[in-house]
Amino acid sequence: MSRYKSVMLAIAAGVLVPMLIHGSAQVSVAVKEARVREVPSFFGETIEVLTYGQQVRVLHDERGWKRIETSSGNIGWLHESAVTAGRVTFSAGDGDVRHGAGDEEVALAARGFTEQVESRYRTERGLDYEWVDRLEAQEAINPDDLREFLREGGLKVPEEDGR
Amino acid sequence: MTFSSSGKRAVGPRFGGLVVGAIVAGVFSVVVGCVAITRVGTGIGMATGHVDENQAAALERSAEAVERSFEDFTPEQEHYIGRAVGAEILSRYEPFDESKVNEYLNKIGQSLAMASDRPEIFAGYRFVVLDTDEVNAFASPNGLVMVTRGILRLTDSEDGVAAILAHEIGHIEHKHGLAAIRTSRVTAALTSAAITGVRVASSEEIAELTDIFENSIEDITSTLIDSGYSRGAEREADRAAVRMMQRLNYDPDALLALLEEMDAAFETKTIGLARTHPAPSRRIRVVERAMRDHPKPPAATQARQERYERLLGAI
Repeated sequence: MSRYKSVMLAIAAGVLVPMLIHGSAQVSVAVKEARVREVPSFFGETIEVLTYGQQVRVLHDERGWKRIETSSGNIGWLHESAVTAGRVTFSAGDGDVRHGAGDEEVALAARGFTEQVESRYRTERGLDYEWVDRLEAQEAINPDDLREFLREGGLKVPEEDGR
Repeated sequence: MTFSSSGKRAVGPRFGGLVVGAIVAGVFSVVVGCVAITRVGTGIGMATGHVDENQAAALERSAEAVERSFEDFTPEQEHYIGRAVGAEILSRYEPFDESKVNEYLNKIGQSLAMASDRPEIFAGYRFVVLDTDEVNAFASPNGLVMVTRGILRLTDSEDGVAAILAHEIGHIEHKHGLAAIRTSRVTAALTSAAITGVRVASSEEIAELTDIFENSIEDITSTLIDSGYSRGAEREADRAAVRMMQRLNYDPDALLALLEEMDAAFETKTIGLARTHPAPSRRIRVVERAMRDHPKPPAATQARQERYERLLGAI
């Protein structure tokens, strides 16, 4: 019996300890800029803009959206595709996306494909990134214009009918 | 709207399965966690003089035995990969520099992306027309969708354009581009370099990573341009397209009509798409199945058809 108990305890520890370490309710912003919305909709008012890697606490999930609390104490909504479980690491040289990265994260950071790798790649290939940069810099269509576009075309506006 | 299957499981009778699953997940996260911990550990150990280079290398070899998957790329790395794929395609095809046309395309495309299962991507979705008669469409992993004038001419409605764009967004949603990178390269990219204890990778490490990067981009572009995705990936993108269209009330019949047009165009073998896509007749059956049990949306309004004709009617 006591052996059984200790085995169960060991298994429980094996499961729970990593879960606690990883912090199951914490997620990181997985996009360059994430708009925290007042309501679970892309047409909702923005209450805070978060940047890549910032961590938020998940309060609950609802149809593809997460109700979250930011580090500054705001409570609002992020679409689940805007976040990723756990922490993200940063590429070296991207000063603007490094928020409070600890030493370990910085040590991990220079791995994989980074800005430095891209810069060397484009030089070696003699590749022109002008159009890629231009398209990326283009403003996204304003949500109000998008809603008007859908209405004018007799289309359905997502999230307005409770999808 | 389903986002993950795990949330739907019945709790009671599956409890045993969940416990086993949790244990497996726990053990797995410990194993995966070890890779990072070992590598950081060796770096710090070397920097502080507690581990010599040989010991560090041995530690790393054991840690690196874990194979990595394309799912392990961070969103930022996916972004850099996508930018390179976009730059490669835009070096082969000239963009059609008409702002009104591209704005219209972005309104359709960004609406569809918003209705997809992955509305948020690192730097957002962008859409652009390529100035060529070739019938083709490309999606790069950073959310950039490029469609040729040739493929746009195969349809005569906004719903048809939506079908083309939604299919491409489907490839991005399912990360089909990243999946085209060989696993050996993914593992090498995610486990090499930056273990010397210094904060910034050395130029040799950057050079090594750039080689892996170049080969990875080549894996994707050769798939997009020459060999094509697997039939399974095309099916997934078609199903995703039907879903996005239904959520906005675009008529998925337009996707069927487009596939029929492509079928006819395939006969002549003049189009780029014929090299890289399964025969449209096979895809038609998949789309028909995905459309089953959904009511047909209301017919397109006059305003929708008018704006299409004004902006893309003469493409």
